[in-house]
Amino acid sequence: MLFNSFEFIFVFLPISFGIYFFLCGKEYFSASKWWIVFSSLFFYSWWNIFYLPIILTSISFNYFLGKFLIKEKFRQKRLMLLISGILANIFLLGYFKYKNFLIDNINTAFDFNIYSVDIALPLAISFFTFQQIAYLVDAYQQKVKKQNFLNYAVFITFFPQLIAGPIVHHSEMMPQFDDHDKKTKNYHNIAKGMFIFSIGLYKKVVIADTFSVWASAGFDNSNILTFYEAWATSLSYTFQLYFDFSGYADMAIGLALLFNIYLPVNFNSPYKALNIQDFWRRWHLTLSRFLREYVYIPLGGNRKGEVRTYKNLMATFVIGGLWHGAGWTFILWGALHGLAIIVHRAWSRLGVQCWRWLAWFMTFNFINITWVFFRANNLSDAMMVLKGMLGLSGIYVKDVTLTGLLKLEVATLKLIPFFTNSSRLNIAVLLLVSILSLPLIFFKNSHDISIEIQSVSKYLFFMIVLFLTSILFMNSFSESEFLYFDF
Amino acid sequence: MTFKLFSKRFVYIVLILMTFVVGFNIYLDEFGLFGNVKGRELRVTNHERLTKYLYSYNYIPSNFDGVLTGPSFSNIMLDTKKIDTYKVYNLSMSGTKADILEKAVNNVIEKGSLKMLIICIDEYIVTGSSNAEFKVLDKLYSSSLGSLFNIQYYLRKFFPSKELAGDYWGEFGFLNNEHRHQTISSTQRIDKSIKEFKGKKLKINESLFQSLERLIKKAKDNKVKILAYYHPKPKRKFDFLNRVNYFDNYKIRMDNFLKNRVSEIIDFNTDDYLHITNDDNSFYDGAHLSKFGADKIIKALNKSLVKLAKKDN
Repeated sequence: MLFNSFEFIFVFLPISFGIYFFLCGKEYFSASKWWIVFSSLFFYSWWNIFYLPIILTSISFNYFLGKFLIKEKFRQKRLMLLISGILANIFLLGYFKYKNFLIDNINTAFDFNIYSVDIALPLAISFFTFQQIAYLVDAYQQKVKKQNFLNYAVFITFFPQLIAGPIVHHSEMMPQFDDHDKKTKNYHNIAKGMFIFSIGLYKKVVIADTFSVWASAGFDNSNILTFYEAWATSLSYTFQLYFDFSGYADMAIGLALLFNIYLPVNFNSPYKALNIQDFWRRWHLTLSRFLREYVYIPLGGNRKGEVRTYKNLMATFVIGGLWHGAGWTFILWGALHGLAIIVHRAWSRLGVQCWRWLAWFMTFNFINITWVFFRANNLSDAMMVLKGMLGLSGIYVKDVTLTGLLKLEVATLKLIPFFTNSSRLNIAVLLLVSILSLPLIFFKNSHDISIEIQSVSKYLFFMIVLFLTSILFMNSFSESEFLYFDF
Repeated sequence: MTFKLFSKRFVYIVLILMTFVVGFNIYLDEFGLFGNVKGRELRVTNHERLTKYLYSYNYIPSNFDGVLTGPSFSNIMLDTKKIDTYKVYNLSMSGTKADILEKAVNNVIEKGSLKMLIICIDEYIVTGSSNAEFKVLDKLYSSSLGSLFNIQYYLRKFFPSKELAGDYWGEFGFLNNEHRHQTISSTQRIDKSIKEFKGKKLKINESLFQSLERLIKKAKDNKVKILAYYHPKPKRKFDFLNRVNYFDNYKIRMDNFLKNRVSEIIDFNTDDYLHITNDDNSFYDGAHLSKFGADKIIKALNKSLVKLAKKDN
């Protein structure tokens, strides 16, 4: 079930919310948690019931292993248990996510002919696997207190964060589910939750899905893109990805707030970043946190000299790239970001200051260019888009006079496959959306706005406009899943 | 205002406004989707493919017992009101391939009232790639209750686009663009279309051909009579295409498939119809029929339908 679907907003959510607080009101606290687990698994199984045994097995395995890790006194034994647990989780992830990538590379490298297996990637597997590895590591380090299965199951399955994060830490979630003060309806949280959800929904269905039409059209025709089209394509994807993923995160945060649960903020205006390190302190914060705490620091972090620090940074970013997808484009994307972080670190040590606007311009364009690798189907497509962006495929607008371009005729821009002869209304919508997207990038983000929410008509009106516009778009033709579902 | 009141107001206002929008669209029922629409007269004003597709759910089955379907060749100027034996709606859609036609005709068949299906089996419907609209058809019904489509539809209805100025759709669904015909010399256009022919062989899109196969089978299984016809091409263009072997084995394959499945196949490119194909005035461009040509086709279809009716009796 998608957050941006009618069945979720108008059926699943009211029922799960209503029954949860009904049970809490009757002080059936355990039953209310079971209800959350049940409804979350129902939400998860909506896509494909065959995914259910995988997540249930994974939860049970990790819970019991965690239990042993908490109980076990001997460090050596704990270490063995931890290693086997991490390997089991990585094997599960590897089997579903990286098996075919590995086979393809072995076939290419050694000229073998091993058949790849067509396996669907179970939804959210990267997210719940990472969350559980973190749990096992903390259990090994004795940072986890004794837990019961129900609490653990709620922590992993809680539907607002199950599919695409934020990647939450048990220490920030489990106490919240046990807090009896959070078991009564809190209308401030409800209002704030609905407000953030509406912003997220708008970002996803109105902005991201509109940009996705441009981005997809461009990447699907990467071999024929001219200079302007290539830039329109890459910028469209840059905006699409941000609005899509941060929209999802907003919806998740808003939904959790309805249940009085605070999820960590996942985005903090990343395109305002003035350097690449700043970007990673603003983009997908919970993944960055995970990679820092469970990859970078265990590798030695910056404690073992400058060269080793650079190696650790590179390794962390390559792993981050690989986490996003099984492909060389993702690995290259991660490596480029790793390299940029290293260059930034070396530059910072020189103590040379750069103009703010130049710093922003360079950072934004680096991010924009590297997203091309992230989105392209393969390296050759990525190179074609980049070639277009560099003007090597020609700096002109095809089959169109400048007057035509200024009028933004859809057919001549050739970026919207859907309504090739369509009216200016589509263009008007796109322009409106583009204009609306600018303040969202350069002004306050949804988190900042939500902090200021007051129960006054201004906010009510704003929220209604956002929500109803989103519903109108949702009921229109294009609908796409969230990009981060693939990761 | 307390946060409780704020939250409640949000929910109530949203629900009221949504109910209003949905109610408004159901009340206007621009596409004849709801309730008894027998006797209503709806005309396409814009978004032809999407509008006609929506008509296929309820409006067409409630008011017609026959449909003519195909691409623009059977859409432009073919006024099915002139057919006597059945009340035939022209469910042809410009630029449409077999997959959309299949879905639209299926809707009409599923309502159970269809008796006659006339289908233009020009190679256009099974070649090339599918229309983008195909992907949205399943969502179109619910979209008609309140979406960007409605806004576009109403705007286009009340502020018609300049591109379509002078075009209109007839009561029985055909597209009348006669005002354009006078400005074009059909002879020149036919010559130009021959000259500009790129010399490629016709390539059937198997997925589209399968759609056509399913459509014919479904109609036959539901005891719908089928009259299939090859759209007439200007004689000298047809001869030219034959010379360059453009058609390959298209006709053989199509005839083999249709044999025993349809009541009759008419090939308007045979010598029996030279009075149509040899006369440039039958066409307004290199391929589409003029009013003059379309009337002749309607006459020929009428004749066949009368024969079929007699055979049944």
